[in-house]
Amino acid sequence: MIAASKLNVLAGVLAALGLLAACGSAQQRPTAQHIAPKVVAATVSHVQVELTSSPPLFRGALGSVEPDEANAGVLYPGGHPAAFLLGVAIHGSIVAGQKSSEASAAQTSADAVLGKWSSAITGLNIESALAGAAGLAQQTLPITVSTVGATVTGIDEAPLRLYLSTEFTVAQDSRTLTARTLVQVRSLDLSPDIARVAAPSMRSVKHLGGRVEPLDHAHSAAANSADSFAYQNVVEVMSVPRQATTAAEDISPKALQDLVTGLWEQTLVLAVDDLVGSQKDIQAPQQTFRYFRDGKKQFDRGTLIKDSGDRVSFRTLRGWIRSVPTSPEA
Amino acid sequence: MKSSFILVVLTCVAVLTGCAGRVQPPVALDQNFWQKENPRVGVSMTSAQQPAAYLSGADCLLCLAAANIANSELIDHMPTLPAEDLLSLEAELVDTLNAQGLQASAVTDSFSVKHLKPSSLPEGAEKDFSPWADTYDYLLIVDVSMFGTHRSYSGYIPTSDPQAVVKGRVYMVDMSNNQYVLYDAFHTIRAVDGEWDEAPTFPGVTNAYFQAIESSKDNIKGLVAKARCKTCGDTAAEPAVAVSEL
Repeated sequence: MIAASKLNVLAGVLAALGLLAACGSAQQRPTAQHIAPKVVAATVSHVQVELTSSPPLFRGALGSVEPDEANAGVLYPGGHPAAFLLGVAIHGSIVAGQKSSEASAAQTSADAVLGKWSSAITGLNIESALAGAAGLAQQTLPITVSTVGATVTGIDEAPLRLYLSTEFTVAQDSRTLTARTLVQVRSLDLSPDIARVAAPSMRSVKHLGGRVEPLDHAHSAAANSADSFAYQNVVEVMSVPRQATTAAEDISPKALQDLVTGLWEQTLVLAVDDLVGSQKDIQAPQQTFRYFRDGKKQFDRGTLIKDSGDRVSFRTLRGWIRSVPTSPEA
Repeated sequence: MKSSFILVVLTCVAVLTGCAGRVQPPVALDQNFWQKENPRVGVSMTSAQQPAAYLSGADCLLCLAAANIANSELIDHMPTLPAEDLLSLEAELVDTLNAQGLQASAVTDSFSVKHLKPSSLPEGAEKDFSPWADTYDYLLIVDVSMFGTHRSYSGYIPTSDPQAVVKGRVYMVDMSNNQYVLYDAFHTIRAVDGEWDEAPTFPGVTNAYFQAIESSKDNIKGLVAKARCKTCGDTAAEPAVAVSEL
């Protein structure tokens, strides 16, 4: 009887400790290790693009989160360590549940902006947009870019396949669309003649994180089998703001089709540049970039990749690539 | 019984009056400020020397120890971040004021607000700035009391993720009468975009830290520039993308 009681107490303590550890730690979102490119530029002449998240997810942009400073004192039950730990664990689970429900409510509220976009989203031709983006990207890049299934002539070697998983975010003022894309190259797809391990010092950034819930599946897969990817990164491209008067109306299917095509084109150019291009921005000094998002000033720390006058691209501290227009107006 | 009641009432009165310190309401920069001919403005910034990770709400010794252990890597990381972006505000304010036609300069190193005597006046600045009245017509002080990250706890449980914070107050004193012509408190908070627990480099937290600094600097400069522009009618647009290098 006594032994059973002790076992119960022990089990209670262990359960409480487990709960406490789970609640006390950070809210873990799926993250993936940033894998530096292991493919050498000169060996790639054909990139084949495949969308892994079809149809892509559209969301309303979340505003900046104002912290809740409420932290009223809590009294934990005494008398027994197990009771005390259980009290702490219950408190932790209540706090975690509250945070989760607040985040969910915020996203539901943010998604209301999709009302003006819903009919255009329904009519979006994903395959056409991706093929168009590949064609446009090829005009900029020194290599052939195609989608899976497209006929490409004159190239003997196997293409390097690029997997894309995209989330589109509509700004709350409905003026900009942002494409956040997880770009991956799987090691299995690399033929021996183009797979060559690059110097390990190419990139020092190791972590990817951020608000990437729609990419959870891809990120989780990547996190679970990081070694199976020869390259991965997140590329975020924000469109040029639409005129306020235009943004007040429903977006047309053609306008959305063009917008998505353009964002994917820039995503492909940046991703392929990152994958096979030079690493000159790694040595660049860190800077604080200012731009406008949802009509509000936004600041980001990173290193400059390219400044083309009307658009600036930079690498964030997480190693992601972000491309934003330089003007708050169209 | 009656004496006990009186004792309780007196105790309450003593406690309540003790808590009621002088609260300085915000003071917007008056238009008269701009009517002076080339006023000499001294600019000074006081701040903690390095960013830190602040924890609050872990209000028992064991809670505090647990919170410190849980955040030890962040606590170690924050002081390694550069503070120059924030500390450059003093020079930027001098430039901002000079660009608006004032004679602004940074106050010499020997100046220290905390070493000044308390003001004897019932209203106005809490310190007596008169020793500097011969040198300046106005003193603009930025007092940063806290910068880095803040995470709130309730006992053992974190109730928030760490958030970048810059907190303090900015005020300008008219040296002719030791009165505030500008007073505002600022408390800039920036949540981390996405995951925060990315030791050892904490890129999300680090980015939020720089976001909070830039936002605070903009707000503080806006307190001065905005008032100036009310008079001059200048609404010069800010460049959409500006870059500040470390």
